[in-house]
Amino acid sequence: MRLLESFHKRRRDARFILRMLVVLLICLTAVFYLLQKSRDLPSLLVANRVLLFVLFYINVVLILAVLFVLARSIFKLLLERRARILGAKFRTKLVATYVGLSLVPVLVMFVYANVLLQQSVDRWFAAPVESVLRQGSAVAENLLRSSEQATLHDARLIASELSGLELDRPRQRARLDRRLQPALVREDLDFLGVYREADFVTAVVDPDAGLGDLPEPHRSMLLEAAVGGEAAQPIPPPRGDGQLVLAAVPIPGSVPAGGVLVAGRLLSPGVATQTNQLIDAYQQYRQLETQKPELRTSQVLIFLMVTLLVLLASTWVGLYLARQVTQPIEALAEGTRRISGGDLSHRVEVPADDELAVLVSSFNMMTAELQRSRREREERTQELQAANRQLAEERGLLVAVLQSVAAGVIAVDREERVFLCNDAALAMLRQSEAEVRDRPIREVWADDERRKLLPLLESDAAADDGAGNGSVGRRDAGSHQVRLVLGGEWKTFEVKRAALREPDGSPLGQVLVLEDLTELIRAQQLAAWNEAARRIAHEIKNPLTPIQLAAERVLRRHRQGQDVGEALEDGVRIIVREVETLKAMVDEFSRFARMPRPQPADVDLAGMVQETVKLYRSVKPGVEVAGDVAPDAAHAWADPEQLRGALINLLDNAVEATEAPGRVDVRTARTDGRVQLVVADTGRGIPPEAKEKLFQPHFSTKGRGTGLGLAIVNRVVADHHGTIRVEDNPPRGTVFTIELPAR
Amino acid sequence: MLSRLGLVLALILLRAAPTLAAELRDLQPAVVDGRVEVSFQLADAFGDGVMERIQSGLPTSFVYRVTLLRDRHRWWNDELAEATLEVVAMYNAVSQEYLVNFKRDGKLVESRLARSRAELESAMTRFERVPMFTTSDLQGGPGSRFLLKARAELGSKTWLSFIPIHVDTDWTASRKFQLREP
Repeated sequence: MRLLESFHKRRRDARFILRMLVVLLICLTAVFYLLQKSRDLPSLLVANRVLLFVLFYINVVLILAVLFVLARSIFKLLLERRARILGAKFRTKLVATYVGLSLVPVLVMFVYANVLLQQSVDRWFAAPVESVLRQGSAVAENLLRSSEQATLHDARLIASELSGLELDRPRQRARLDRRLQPALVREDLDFLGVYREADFVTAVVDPDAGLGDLPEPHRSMLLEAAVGGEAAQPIPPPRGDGQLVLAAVPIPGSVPAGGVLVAGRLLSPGVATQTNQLIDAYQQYRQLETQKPELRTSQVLIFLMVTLLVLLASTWVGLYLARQVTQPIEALAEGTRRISGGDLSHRVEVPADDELAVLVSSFNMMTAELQRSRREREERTQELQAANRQLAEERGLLVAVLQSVAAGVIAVDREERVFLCNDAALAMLRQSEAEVRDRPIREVWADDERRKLLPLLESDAAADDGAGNGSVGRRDAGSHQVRLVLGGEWKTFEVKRAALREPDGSPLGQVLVLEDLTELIRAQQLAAWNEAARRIAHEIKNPLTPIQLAAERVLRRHRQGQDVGEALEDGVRIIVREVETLKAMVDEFSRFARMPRPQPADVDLAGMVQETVKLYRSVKPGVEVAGDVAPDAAHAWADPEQLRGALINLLDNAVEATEAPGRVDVRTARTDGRVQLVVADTGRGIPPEAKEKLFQPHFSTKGRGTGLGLAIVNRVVADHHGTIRVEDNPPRGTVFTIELPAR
Repeated sequence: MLSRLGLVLALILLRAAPTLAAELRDLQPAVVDGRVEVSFQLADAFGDGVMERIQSGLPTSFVYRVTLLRDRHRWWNDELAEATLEVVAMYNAVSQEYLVNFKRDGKLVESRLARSRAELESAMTRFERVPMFTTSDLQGGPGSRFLLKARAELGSKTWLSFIPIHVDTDWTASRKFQLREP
């Protein structure tokens, strides 16, 4: 549609230009024709200066038209410059250049041509030409005057012969004609006429002259002669060419007075024509000379008209061409301004040619592309806003969920800065949100107690494998138990860590889920202690029964009067034995209760493992006990006696649980700066429900003993800031793994 | 610089200024036989330039424009009629005569031959009792007063070599008169 409009507009412009060119061509042709014909213009027209005024007013109109076109353009340019319209300066320069390029050559041409024209006009009236024509005319006039004088002379002579002529006698006319005829022949005249004042009396004519009719002398000439004067006048003959020279003289003594004799002599046609031509030529020259200023002015005006027409056309074309260039540029500048103002719907709709058309088209394409990009950006922004709203809603929902759950949730980003921490976590860790929110976790947990949680975040492997802190224990796969002193209270948390990852797998952060196990453990411990009390009571009760029975047997025998010696001896032996049992039981409890503080030192794990394994190699036939110490895990930093006791405890349990044929392996390894001591057997294994209580005091799967062995081992490991975990040993058996700091 | 330019311009204007100071004199009305006859003469108009132009054979004309007005007291005069008298002179170089044609309101009313400059000048510049209006042209009461105004149009000339200008005399007014025939 736009292209169609542009096409129509261009076609209208082209038609307009064509019309203007046709009008200009017609004007120029008319002027040229006028210029050519001006030489042949009737003298009257030129003499009356009609032509001058017509030309002058045409020129005035043209000058006004040129001035109007120029003034209009200059006024518009001034307004544009004052309004600081972009491109006004460029347009001014362009218009000045175009107008100057058309104005200067045309004016120079006008001045030069005008000078040439004036010189030509001056040459027309050069002195030799005027002299020749004047002399020629003088010769012709002299010839006429001579002929007049000669005719006058003849007329005077004949008039004297007619002296006393009676003019009012009609009968005398025939006799008068007979008197005139010989005089006509004698003086070689062609006409002789007698007049009474201006009235005709009689006349004779040379029949060979071919006058055809009687000539009519001018009344004034007759009247002049009638009063005594003389007059001569050349007149055209009544018929034919030539010139008839008439001379009028008075007839002396005529009756009545006033008689006039008119003599006429016909000049030959050739002489007359030449005479007339000479006189006419000089007359024409004089006319031209008289009209010289008017002729010069008319030529100047005609040439000025041509100049103005050309100037008008060239100025108009110059302005048109300037507009063709500046209009698209101004439109582009305006478009740039509008677009910089944010109006991306603006398009430049100015017809342009050539490179400017490409520029306009490119500008419009660029604008369309910008508009499309902005629309897409707005759509994307709206989508993002919607997504953000949804995310905010989801986040709110998540926060609500997180706030409502009992578990504490703490999430850190890649830079370990806290970006999420629910109220439960804050309550568990005795911290406020202001202390935690958007702060690095290492600053948040900088104190000695909370710092124990940091190893869980140190690395995926470390976190997955368990913390190296003595207060952190692996509870099961993926969770850790941490004990902290917060606000003067012991707190036990089960901590689960999970890595946050982008959809492409790249790390995003970590999240820790804390569960406060303090009450649960307290309850478990209470239950354990109940069980321990029950079992202690049971264990104490067991020796008491034989003691009671032995004492009752001695008492019964004594009452029955039987010999109590043997019974007393047996009874005392039994009582002593059971008391020993009770004593051993009390010692073991005492040892558990009074576990000494570890005295860490560099432990030769290789030696310790080999010595211990050697003790158990032949304990159970069919059960192979082997030791394997890794070179990089041959040493550990621990209390040697406590560690040896723990190892023996584990090895003892493993050998006891393993039926022949079976195998017990003791090995060491090094992982992430920690030393692992592993005891693996192929025994009957431990049920999952038992694993949870395995390290509690007085829990036993053997149905005998105090159940304090693994509790002591767990205590030793914890005192060494290590961890212990129990796992299955596929296809059968159990694996106990102790991890200790390397040093 | 500007003063020099002004001086040059002044000289040009002085040179271009018309030097002819022709004027109409003795404009006299006369009411005779129901006609208003006009007499006047043109002075200082028939110079050598005019004579040369006539003798070159160019038809040369003087146009006399006469206006009849009714006098109004303390008000603009009422223009009643206008008439023109055109005198055209043509020279015949062969016969050395001047043909003078008189046209009133465009119609030829008289032709006259003049054989000398004095005769020609008189024919073209002196007019005695030329009937120009009829009394029927005159409107007004018996006490109305009338007057004539006339001027001569002597052709044109160029100013600054290319601007044509008309050469006219000033308007000349007659005495006031009434419709009483002598």
